[in-house]
Amino acid sequence: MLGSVSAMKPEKIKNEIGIPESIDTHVLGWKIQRIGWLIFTLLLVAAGMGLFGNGPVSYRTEIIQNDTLRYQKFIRYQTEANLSFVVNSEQTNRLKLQLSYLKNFDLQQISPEPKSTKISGGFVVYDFDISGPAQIDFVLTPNTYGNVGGSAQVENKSFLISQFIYP
Amino acid sequence: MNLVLRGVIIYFFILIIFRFAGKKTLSEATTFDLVRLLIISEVTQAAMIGNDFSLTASIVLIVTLVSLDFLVNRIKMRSKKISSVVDGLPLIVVEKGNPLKERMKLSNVEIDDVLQSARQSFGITSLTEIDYAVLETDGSISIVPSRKAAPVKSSE
Repeated sequence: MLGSVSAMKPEKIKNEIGIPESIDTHVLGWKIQRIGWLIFTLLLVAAGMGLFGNGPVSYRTEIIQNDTLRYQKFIRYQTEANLSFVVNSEQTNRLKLQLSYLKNFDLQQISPEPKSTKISGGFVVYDFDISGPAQIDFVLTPNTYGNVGGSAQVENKSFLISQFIYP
Repeated sequence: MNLVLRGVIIYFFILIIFRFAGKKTLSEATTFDLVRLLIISEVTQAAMIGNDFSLTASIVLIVTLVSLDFLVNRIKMRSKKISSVVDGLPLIVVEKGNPLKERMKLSNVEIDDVLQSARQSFGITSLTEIDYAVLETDGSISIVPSRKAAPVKSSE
C-alpha cells in the first residue's frame, strides 16, 4: 500500500486553462490518503481482535485456586459488560466487589440473585444461596470513561480488575 | 461526554474520513451509495446523541454543527491553503485528448467516467473531442470540448 506512495509520478503538464491545480499538493494529499487507509486497516484489525471490546484481546481470565473471574479489559461507555465468576469451592457463597469500582457502573443484573446485599469496609457484600460449583454473572453498564480498577473477593481470594472504558 | 465536544469530534472525523475516501467516491452516487450514506448518518446520530432524545440535545448539536460549518467556511475563505486541504484542488485528467493515466490512477478516475461526463455534457463520444477533462473538488468531472467538436443541438 505504501510502496506505491514513493512511486507517485503524476504527469507534469502545461496548464493552459488556468485551473488552480497544484500537483505537489495533490501528491501530498494522495500520500496522506494512503497513510489514512493504512491507519484505518490497522484500526479494523484491532477492532476485530477486540481492542475496542468483544474480542480475544479484550477478555481477561484470572484464576485463583479453583475460582475464576472472566471480564473484558476493554469496554465501551454505556455498553453492557459482564463480570463472570466461576466458583468451584463447596463453601463459597459470599462475593465482595469494591464500592469505588462499582461507582463507575450502573448495575443491570446479577445472576443468580443474591440472598442479601450489604456494604461493609468499602465493599459491597453479596451473599448467595448456592452450593457447589456455580457461575455468578454481573451485568454492568459503564457510566464513566477512562481507566477504572478495583478488586473483587471470593471468600478470602482477591481478584484485581483493571479495565479501560472507551468514550 | 459533553454534547458540544461530541459534535466537534464527529464533525472533524466525518470531514477527515470523506477526504480519505477520495473525491470520486462522492461523485458516484449510486443507489447503494445513497443507502450507505444513510447508514453512516444513522451511526453518526447514535454516536452524537446516545440515549439523549431531548429537544435540548438536538438543538445544541444542530447549533454546534452549523456553527462549525460556518467557522470552517470562514477559515477557508481567508486561507486558500486551508481551503485546498479541506476541499482539495481540481485536477486535470485529460489534456488535448490524451488521458493522463498516472493522474487518473492516483485519483481513482477511469476513462469511462470521463466519457460518461462528456456524453452527458456535450454528447461527446471520443476522447479526441475533449480538450481538457477536470476532476473538480466536488468529485464531478467537467469537460472542455475541443474546438473541433460539434456543439450538440437541442432535439426540440
